[in-house]
Amino acid sequence: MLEAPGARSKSITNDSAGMLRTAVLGAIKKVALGTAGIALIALLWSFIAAGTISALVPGPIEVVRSIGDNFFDIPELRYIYYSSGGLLENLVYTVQNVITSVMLGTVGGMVFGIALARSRILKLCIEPPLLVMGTFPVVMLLPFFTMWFGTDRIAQYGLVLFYTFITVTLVARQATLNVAGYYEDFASSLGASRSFFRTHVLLPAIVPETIGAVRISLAAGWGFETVAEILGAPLGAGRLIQVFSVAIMTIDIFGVLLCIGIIAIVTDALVAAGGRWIVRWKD
Amino acid sequence: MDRPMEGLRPPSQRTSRRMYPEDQLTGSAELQPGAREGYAIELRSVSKTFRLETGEQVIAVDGVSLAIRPGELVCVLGPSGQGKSTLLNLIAGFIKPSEGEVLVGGRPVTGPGPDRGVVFQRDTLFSWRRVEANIAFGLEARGVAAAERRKTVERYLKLIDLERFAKAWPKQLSGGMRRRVAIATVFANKPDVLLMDEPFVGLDYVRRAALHKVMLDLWQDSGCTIFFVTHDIDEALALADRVFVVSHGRIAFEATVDLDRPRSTEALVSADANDLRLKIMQSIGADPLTEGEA
Amino acid sequence: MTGIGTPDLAGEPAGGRRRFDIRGLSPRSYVIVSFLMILVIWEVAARTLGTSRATGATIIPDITTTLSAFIAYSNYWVGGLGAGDTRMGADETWWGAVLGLGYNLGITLLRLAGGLAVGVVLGVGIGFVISWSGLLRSLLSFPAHFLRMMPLLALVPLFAMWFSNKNVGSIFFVAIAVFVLMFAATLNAVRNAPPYQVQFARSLGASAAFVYFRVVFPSILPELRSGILLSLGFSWNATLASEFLGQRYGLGAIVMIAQEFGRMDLIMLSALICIVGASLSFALADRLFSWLVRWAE
Repeated sequence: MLEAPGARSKSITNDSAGMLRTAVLGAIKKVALGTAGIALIALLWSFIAAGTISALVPGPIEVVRSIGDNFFDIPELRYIYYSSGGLLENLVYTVQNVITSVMLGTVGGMVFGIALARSRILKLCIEPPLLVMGTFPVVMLLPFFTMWFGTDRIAQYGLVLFYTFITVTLVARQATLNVAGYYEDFASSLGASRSFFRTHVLLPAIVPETIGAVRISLAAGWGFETVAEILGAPLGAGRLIQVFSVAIMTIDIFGVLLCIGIIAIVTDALVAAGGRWIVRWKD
Repeated sequence: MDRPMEGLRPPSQRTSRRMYPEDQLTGSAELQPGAREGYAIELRSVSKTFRLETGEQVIAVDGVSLAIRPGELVCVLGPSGQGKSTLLNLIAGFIKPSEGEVLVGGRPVTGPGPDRGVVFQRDTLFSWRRVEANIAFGLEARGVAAAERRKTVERYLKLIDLERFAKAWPKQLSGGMRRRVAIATVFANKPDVLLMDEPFVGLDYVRRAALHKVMLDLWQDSGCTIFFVTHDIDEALALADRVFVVSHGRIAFEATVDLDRPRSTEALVSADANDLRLKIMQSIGADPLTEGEA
Repeated sequence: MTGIGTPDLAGEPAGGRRRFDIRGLSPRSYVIVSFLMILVIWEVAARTLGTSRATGATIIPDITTTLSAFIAYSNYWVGGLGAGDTRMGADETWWGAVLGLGYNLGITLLRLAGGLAVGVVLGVGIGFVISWSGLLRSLLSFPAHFLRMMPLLALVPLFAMWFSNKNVGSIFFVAIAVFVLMFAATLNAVRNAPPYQVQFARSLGASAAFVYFRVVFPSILPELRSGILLSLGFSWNATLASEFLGQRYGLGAIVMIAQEFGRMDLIMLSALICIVGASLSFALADRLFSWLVRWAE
């Protein structure tokens, strides 16, 4: 062995204190970066706002203040509309709608998507129209829902439900098709029954992609729900936005939007984290 | 020890078998400062330590010194993950050494450059460029005129026998054909040094032999220095003037392969070749079934 | 609008297993059969549930009523080219209907395409240029993600306020929404670009700028496909939504006005036209994009 003088005897050093330090530093760095990014955007925003009047583009500080003011009660509106409630009450309505319809749509979509992938009859009969519906602009359903349901709650969350159902169905179907071939053969060669295969192989395998579809539906769902509420709801963030825009209270509109944005980010992060936990076996 | 400034004559034409004297390997080779002659590639007590995401430290290269003369074809062998590719990346300039110096053509390496062409293990062809545009890439990037580019491209297409596929997309080619295009792309740039990181891994014996021939033809034609990383002993014996074995980040063994070119199959199983093969395998520690040094 | 739902009728199981016999019918006949079934279900629903018990009004028009509502499009034609303006007293005519539909659909498509094009070009362009600086890219990744999550559709009243009813307002709205999406997608794509092609290019002597614009840019294009299709879907929704909330012309405007007059048949017909238009636009976009990245594996 020709060795250069002074060669070290170990190839790997184990430095557990160093490992911990690196992990913590990494987390701090990520948080700092995120905060700095937000700060940068807030700065940009104030800059734009400084160039125009409040009614056009309000600054971030006014907007945050208005959120605080409006949270439990909106005095300005009390004399215009009967019982409009505060920001909190309306946000709760919206959040309830979106979350329930996304959950229902996900469950229905998974069941239907898996069924579509595994039943040839269903597939050949339902699939073409379904694929076409995947491209349909969902807001076009609003006039129908208004005609059919008036201002009932379902007229608002129906859009989100429909979109989630279609999206999750299509993704679950594709994911099942990807899995069905070889996993199924392998499982049955190990003696698994059909139902065992369904619950213990199929479902876990399609969860990752389905979570992705759920996140997409959730993100779009906030928009759809809000638009539906704008066009006619007794309660909800969208309704607030509509009312504020009629009264030209731009600052408060921005306040509502910011709140929904934050809620959307938080729910998305929760779903993503939940998804990562469910599939913690995946590399 | 000669100073091969003629450069172009493959060293195997010299007849004496040689083991390199100690001083070349311990970094004390006397090279006049500022002199461009001497070694094509030189490493002086080079070490590289990596810090992983988990905080662990890995010493990939541990005090390595070596010297390679212009025009040589050197093969670097060794088990996976023990420093061969790191050495290549250091010479290429993709990473910097933690300690020591890496010199190419007498000058320290500061980053990647056209004087050191690299052929990677994975397919790096630019899929949005047709074959002829791929071969011309380096020339285009360095501002060579269109007419000259076209001439060079045509020449290399002929050398790798892919003239019919000049306008094909990379995705339309087989694995072996893509390797040929990648090699031609690098050679067309006329690098002084060519670094190849297990470029023929995964190809079957016949295809590999064909690619060896292409590579050796291009090497004879250009006279560049080749630093070839592989884990295949047969490949090393078929190609190399000199062989290094890298194990645990250090050079465990080094020898000249003194077989005449072109190397016939008989030569590759001759007594000399087998003797070398045995020494190489022993230095890699390739005797897992018996108690051996890992 | 999912981008996932781009028509793909070849969804065979990955293992190529055929558990059920296809009974000798070709896939094309099944497509026809399935659409026929939809028509049947529609007609049945219209006959049974189609009339509201409360008000007696039609809430699900049957097929013939829907199709014959076509002539009502002539009420949305501004007049000229051989058909009069019905608001001035001219009759509803088939030719007027063609013009009316063409004009309004054209306006909608113009807004959509304009907003989409501006949004994609700016989103990808600015996103790519900004991503040159690794620092800027890491800084802006989170805010870009945040802006993507904002329910941009909810901004429609705001835009109506800012731009009143001009076309530019719609286009700007769509453009902003698409910009946010494509900006985030581009940042992400550059972050995920594999380094070995960059290394290869550098080792061939390319400068940093050459590598960034001539190597990194083409290499991220395939990854932008899903972003582009999502943007297309979103553009449809955004354009229609902005037309719902106070535009004078456009398919969405027609639907809102029809709603005021209780004309479900016209709304249904418009929805059908929307379905056709949207799927065609997706097929076209998919085809175009596939041509653009025809070299990709």
